[in-house]
Amino acid sequence: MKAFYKLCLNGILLLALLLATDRTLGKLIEHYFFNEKQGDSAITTHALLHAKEDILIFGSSRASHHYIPELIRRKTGLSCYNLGRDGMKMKYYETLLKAVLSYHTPKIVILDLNINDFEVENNEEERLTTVFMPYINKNKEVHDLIYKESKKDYSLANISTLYRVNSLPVSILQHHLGMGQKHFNGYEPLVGKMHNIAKARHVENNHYKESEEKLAAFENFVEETQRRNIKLYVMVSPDMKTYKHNSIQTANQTLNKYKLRAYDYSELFKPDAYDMFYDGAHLNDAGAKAFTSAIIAAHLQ
Amino acid sequence: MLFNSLHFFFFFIVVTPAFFLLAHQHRWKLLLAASCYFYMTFVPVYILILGFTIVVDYFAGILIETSKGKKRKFFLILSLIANIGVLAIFKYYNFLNENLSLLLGNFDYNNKIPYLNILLPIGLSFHTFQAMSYTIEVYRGNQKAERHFGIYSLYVMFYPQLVAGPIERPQNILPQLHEKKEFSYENVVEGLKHIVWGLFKKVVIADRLSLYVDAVYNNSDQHSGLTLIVATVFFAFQIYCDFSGYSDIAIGCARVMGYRLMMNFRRPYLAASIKEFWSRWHISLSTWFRDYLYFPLGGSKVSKLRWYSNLFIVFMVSGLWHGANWTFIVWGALHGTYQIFSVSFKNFNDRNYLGYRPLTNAFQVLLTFTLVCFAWIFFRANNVNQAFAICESIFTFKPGDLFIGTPETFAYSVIWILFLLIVEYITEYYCDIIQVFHSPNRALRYAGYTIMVLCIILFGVFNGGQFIYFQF
Repeated sequence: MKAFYKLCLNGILLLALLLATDRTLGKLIEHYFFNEKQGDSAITTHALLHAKEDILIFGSSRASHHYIPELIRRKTGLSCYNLGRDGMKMKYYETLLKAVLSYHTPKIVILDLNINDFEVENNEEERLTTVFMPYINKNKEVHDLIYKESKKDYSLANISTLYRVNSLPVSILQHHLGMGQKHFNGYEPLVGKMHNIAKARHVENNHYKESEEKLAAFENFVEETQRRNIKLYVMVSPDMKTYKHNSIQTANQTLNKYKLRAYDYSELFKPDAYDMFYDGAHLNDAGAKAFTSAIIAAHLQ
Repeated sequence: MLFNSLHFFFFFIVVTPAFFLLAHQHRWKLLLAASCYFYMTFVPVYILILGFTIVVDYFAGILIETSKGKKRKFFLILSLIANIGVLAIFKYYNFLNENLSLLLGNFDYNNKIPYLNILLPIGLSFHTFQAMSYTIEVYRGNQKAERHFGIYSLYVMFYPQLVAGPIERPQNILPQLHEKKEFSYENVVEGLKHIVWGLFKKVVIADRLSLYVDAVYNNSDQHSGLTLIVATVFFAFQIYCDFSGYSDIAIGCARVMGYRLMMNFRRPYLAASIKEFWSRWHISLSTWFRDYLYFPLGGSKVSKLRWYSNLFIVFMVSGLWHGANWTFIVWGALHGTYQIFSVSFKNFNDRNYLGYRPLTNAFQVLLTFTLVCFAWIFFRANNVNQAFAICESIFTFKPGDLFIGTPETFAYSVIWILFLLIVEYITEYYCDIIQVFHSPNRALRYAGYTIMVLCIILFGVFNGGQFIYFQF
């Protein structure tokens, strides 16, 4: 019995030490995380906590490398922020929009539609939970999303502050030291020309399958903007490749209900305009300037 | 139920206190029920296979002990056929059938033998080998046949080592299952330390490395020779941390209740020869093969040619034990070849050919590690063709940049490999670094525990999936 009491006592002592260290260290890391000025997380933090711009741009890496907020601000006089983030898809945009709308209503929202935005995908929930984990107690939309997607992560995040910033120390250090990709109001310019010229321009993904969940997320996205009288532009930015499946048609089926349509700029540049591209799916800085100018002239002025 | 899951956490904190609360004569029932539940969380119906081998080996053990003369051998063979038969059907049938089809196809014959649409029962090779070691030891007279059916079932099914070992010997575990285990503070603490260290190796190191390794090996044709070398080295540490992490957790879970399982790993990448590597890697399996295959074949006490062929056979079978795939057979054949060279050049290896012993030793460790890594290519590749393509890319220095993937993942991978190497080096040559957990200074001890647990929370990969060795 004595050994058992000793174990309990030492166990409680150790648990108290663990909890205290977890909270202290967790808060310290969180402080540095929420004060990052560079990196993808800084953009998500801006969206969830500080967005106050007139124009907000949503999308994946194609959004973050294709739309130049500063150019838009100069030409239209409206403040603008690019919330695009590498590897993200429709459910991320939807959550981010809802989170922004919980405290700010922009005048214009631009959604850059990616060719795979509606595609069924494994591990998307996992990625979303990972990206949004540090914000679990900062925003209700994020809180609800994590609760819905992963009860395990939700429980652990409520027990441990460190768990919320799991795996982040190296990237926080990297961004505070000024290493890695720089962004300008969310725009991440890519410098350089395309060197691996794609031989096949046309892509046939025979396994392509649309996700009902993502279609619903898109409809929610559109509905949220329309309910608040936000001007919505759904665009497909230039792409070096053409695809068998057509996400624009899919998007238009929803947009038409709201008397809207998607704008297709995928073939804005000639097929051999390699000097405008960084790789098969992303424009370089020169391409981004030309494309941003084109959409300003067509829609924003 | 994975050791690195919340499910197991709750299972453990229910079963362990219940074990101590029950009277000694009822504990085996609890452990057996818990082990059945543990196993049935994977594919419930496969408990019937375990049940079959348990019944066969239980009666075979008694019959071997009570019979005389040739009958003893007959019952042993019957038991071995039953065990190997189960393995053959569930693990090797489709593989053999597929290769038969390929062979017949070369002669324009159509193989009409149907394929079986079955999943491989989890940990089949582990518990089958453990069961076989029981009947062999009874036959050899080293172990008395177990009369208590429940205790014998628990010997095969003891949940900490049921699905991935260590493959125990009856002499070690059966007497312990009969012993009355008192609650011991030292055992609980020692067990918990093993569990935490095992978890650290699994979720912080192995699962982090797997992110990079999977990204490269799943698209190996897209990557440069340099990237493939890095991915292979990462895999070497991934599989080590994955498997030794599992073993540590298993040893820890058993130790908390007072049971001592055998050590399965002893810093294998610090081995200075392939022979030494196998005395440090998956010790419970390599000693199993030594005792039940290598020695019966004659071991080294035969002609040189027979000795070499014995070594080769053992490693080929070891390769096949890992999986029904040519990649594992080539892996085993490579290690068999290494062993033959290792024993052939023993005199040369023992010499201090670089003139300075530590330097010679370091060179030998590096050489052994390189050879082991080369063999890991075949172990990790999805098929033999991919493995050969990877070898070609490496040896022709296929040009291209080093793939970094996610910079954080790469950085963590390098950091944790270096950390592990430092820990292993200090433990090997100076003192067991785990001693920090034994320090008489309570502050130091608690700091050690806290850092380890917080590292798991902060740097662990919590969706890393199952242990690699579960598939065997």
